[in-house]
Amino acid sequence: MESRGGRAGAGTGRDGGENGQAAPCRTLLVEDDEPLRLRFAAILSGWRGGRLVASCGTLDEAMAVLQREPVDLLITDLRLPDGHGIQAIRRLRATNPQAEAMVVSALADNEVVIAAIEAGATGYLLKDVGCADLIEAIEDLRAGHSPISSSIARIIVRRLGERGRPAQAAAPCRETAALTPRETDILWGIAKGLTYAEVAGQLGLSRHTVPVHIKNIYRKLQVGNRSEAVFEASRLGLIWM
Amino acid sequence: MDVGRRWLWAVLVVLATVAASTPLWLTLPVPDQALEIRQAEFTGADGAPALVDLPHVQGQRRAQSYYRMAYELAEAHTQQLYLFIPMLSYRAVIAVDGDVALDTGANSLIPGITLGVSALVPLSGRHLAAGRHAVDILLEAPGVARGYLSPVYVGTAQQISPFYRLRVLVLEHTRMMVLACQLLLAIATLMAWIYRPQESLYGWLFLLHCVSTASYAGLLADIFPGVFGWLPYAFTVSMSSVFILHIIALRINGATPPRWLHASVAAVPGACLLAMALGVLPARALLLGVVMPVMVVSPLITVAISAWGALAKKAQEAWLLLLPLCFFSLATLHDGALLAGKVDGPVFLSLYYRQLLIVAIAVILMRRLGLSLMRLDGANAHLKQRLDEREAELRRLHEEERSEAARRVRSEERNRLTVDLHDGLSGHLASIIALAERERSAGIESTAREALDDLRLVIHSLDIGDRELMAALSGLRERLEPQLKRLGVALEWSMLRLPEISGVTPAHALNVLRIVQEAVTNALRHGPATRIAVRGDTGPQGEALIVVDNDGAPYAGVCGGGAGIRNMGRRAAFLGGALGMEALAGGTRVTLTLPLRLSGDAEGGSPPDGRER
Repeated sequence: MESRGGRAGAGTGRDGGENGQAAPCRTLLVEDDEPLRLRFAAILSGWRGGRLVASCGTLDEAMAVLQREPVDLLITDLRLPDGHGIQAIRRLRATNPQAEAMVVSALADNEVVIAAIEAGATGYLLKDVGCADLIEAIEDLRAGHSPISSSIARIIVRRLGERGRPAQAAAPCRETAALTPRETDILWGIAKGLTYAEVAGQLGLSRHTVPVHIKNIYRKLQVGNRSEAVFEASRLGLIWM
Repeated sequence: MDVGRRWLWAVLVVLATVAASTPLWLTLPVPDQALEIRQAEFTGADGAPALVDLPHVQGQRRAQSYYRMAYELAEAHTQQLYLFIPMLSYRAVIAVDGDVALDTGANSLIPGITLGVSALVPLSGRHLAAGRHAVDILLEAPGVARGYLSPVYVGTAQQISPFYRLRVLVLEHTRMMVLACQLLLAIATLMAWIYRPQESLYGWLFLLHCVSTASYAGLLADIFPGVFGWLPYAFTVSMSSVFILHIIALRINGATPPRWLHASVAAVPGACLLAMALGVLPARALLLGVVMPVMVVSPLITVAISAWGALAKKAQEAWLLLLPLCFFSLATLHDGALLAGKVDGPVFLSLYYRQLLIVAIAVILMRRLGLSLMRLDGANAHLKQRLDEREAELRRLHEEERSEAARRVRSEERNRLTVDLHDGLSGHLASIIALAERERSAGIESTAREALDDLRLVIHSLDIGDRELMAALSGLRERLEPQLKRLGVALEWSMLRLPEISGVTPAHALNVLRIVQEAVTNALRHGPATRIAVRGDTGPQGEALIVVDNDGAPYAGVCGGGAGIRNMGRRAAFLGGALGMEALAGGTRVTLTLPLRLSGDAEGGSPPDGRER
């Protein structure tokens, strides 16, 4: 982390340039592991484009903060001692639909990340992410870009395929139908293992528009405030118990 | 083949025609060595004697008449001589010199409708003495046809008996053979009908044979002496056979016979029988005026039906019936002419030609049997093929099910493992990284980072299925990208040209990933590179290549590589591929060559050792 200061500074500089005199991004951090929480809190404190509202170790604390204060960005671990990060994401999306949520995951290629995306998350971070990478990821997300790994793309493709089957109930097909052919092509390309540049080249897009499409895909994957969404979340939550 | 069959059929048809028409043109030979008597004094019913030539056909039906003739012997014969009458109709009492020598009614079977018989009278004792001997023949004419007497011969056994035996064979034995065949086929069709009642053709054939045998009612004369009085009724019953024949011809054509035709099978003979029984008309008049004309004309109609079937409806079996029907109707015409006195001769041919019809019908039945057996074979073969296909399909589904179940078990196992590692080990490692960073303990931090990366490599490879090597490599790229970026090293990556590799298992994927990871690590460690290019490619023999180029120090031979490179080589060999190291102008190239199908040996197996550092 030798170059932390410099990189972070560069990041904020760009942020300032893009957003002008916009209000700083009010950020809430939820992470139960203390060393990690302290590390993320330190990095976020040094980010000039944002303001760390609070850093919580439990879901209860996080819910209390969400109740109390407006939050623009939630960065949350998923497994918490008293609940699941997905609950915090749902609360955030319900109170402030404009707010963004990112999940922190040790591996970031798991089904639970998809569950978080379906709850409304549009980004994810690895727990050992470098500080410059963390700031960059946040700023990318704020600029409308979402990341995707080939593992996540494969899981999404697989799940869309399962939902698309006629034997399944008709209701979940809503999301599948909502994806444009281009978005589907992007998902397939990434699931196969192509880079953003290769996918963009094959589809005749600019490399930088691929993450924009990804964010749209995530938004479309978000399950609405229906009872089945709650069920889905609790089902996945149970898997993690 | 087809032409050969056509010729075979043509030859068969010609042979059958020749054989079938024999009775129409063949005249049986008469003794040429023997003494022939060609004249006789005929005394008919009217009583006036007249000299007539033999053969003689009487003008009247159903009459008794006398013939007187003589033979003269120049000298007394010591050898046995015979008097031979080749043909008479239908019964004769023969006396020589006033001694009754033979009554044909005593030793000839009269089936019913009267037909010609031969007579052989052994001459003995004084009949052989030299001089003139008188022969008296009392001839009983049949009821419906006229009396007939052929020339008479006198000769030795050698001169006469071959001709006599031939006549007996043709006239009497054949007649019985016809009956035997008819009974046999009656039983055969009855059996066929019992087993296939839905096919009414068999029933009609059986009925045809039954009513036809009524013509033979006269055979019962020995048991029921009064049977000759019933013969007109029997003939009337057998008249229904002509209607049955119409029905059979229509069925063979594939047409449905009209109801009235079915009705007339019973109605027409029934009406005649009723008329006879009530005495509306005399039986003889009915027989000659109704029954006989119907039986003569009807076969012509059947011929027309079969010809229509064969020519217009293209029914193949109608052809088989047509030729015998033609002969049969010729025979009935002949018999009609005989009755009307237009043709001389005592033999009714239709009885013999009925046999031909029966043979034709038997041929048709056998053909149907053969065809249905062939269809059965075809259906069996088809069913067997369907069964084989279905079995193969089931086997395939079973295989799929098994591999799907195995995949599911693996996936569940992986999920469980991932959850454990995620919650436990990887969280702790991330925590260690954060702590080490805070404590500024760079060694611990980098070791923990490497451990976490390696853990991700293992977990990630567990999810790799067949043909997903490119996705596995992509996961490695996603992990390398931020690391190299942090170090300021450019990474170029393209797997677009990597051919698809099949047979990939998680163990294969992990080995490939470790090789590429090692190549990148080496590039960073040994040749301080600023640019690393990883690309997939297709080799000259179509094999898969993964090439890792760096712009660091050129590779300097085996000793420079050390344990890391030996490990990479072992892993490559384990995958059934090869590892190449070469020096570039400004850097080093590592080439991993892989076959397009990875063998299953690595399934579940581990690389020979852990990572060497």
